[in-house]
Amino acid sequence: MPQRDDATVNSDALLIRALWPDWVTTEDGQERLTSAAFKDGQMEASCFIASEVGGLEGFQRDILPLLEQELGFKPERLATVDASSVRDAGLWIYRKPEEFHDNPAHVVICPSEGMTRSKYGRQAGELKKSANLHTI
Amino acid sequence: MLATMPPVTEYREEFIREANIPVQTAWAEIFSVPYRLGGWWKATAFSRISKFEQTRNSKPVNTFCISPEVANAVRLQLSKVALQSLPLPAVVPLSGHGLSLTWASGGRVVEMTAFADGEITVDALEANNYVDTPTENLEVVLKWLIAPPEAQLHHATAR
Repeated sequence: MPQRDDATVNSDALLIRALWPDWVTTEDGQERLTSAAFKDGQMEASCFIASEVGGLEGFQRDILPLLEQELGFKPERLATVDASSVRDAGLWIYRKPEEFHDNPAHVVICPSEGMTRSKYGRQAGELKKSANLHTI
Repeated sequence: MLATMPPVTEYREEFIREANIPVQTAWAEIFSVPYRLGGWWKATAFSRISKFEQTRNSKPVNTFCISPEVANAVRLQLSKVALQSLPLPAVVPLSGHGLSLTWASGGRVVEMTAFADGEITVDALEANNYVDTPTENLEVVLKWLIAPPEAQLHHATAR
């Protein structure tokens, strides 16, 4: 399936992303996301549509146990970001259920067509400013 | 008393930094002279990179490990940086078999991103905002990182 922005993911949708521990730093006593939080080595950062997995609670109950097995560690923090913020950064969102147990709530954040690697890195890095951090 | 001592590896790094002892590792034999000019920060960075490197011919353990090709591409870039004194970079895996190295000094940050196919990009930030980088030469951007506050990045490429 070619990459494209999926219009069925509403712009008011909230996306949830499980975080590697080092993607969170402490500055002035406050925990903050780092630029690595939404970057991906293959430019497809995995997220889940909150409304389709039962919100943060449903995500922790149903999705997180499966993620732990795949990731090899237990995430202790999550990030949430509005789909509109992702698109405002010039990035696309599209569903990739085949990468997570055929679950259509699984999406990836990817560069828009023609976006350079450098631009992707910056835009994905900037999502840390519009995302929220949650401790499980 | 023993319970308050730092872990051995951190203690060794602290000792090396304070004593400025040149660290001879296998990488010094593989890469050319510029590596030897790099200083202790480079050996520490190489060691941290290795922690996320999958062994050759093995399958990736998870999305947070990098291939030997990516690890070597990163090491090659670092080996070309002939700066003795730099902050230790934070070495952080990205999902999708990528790697991020970040150097911070004052209000400036240099980010090096290695993608799963080995391509590397370099970005600079000042006061938490990305600044234009007229070059992706890592050494030039790192020189700006540790330059006086009034130094502009686009001046760093002037000859």
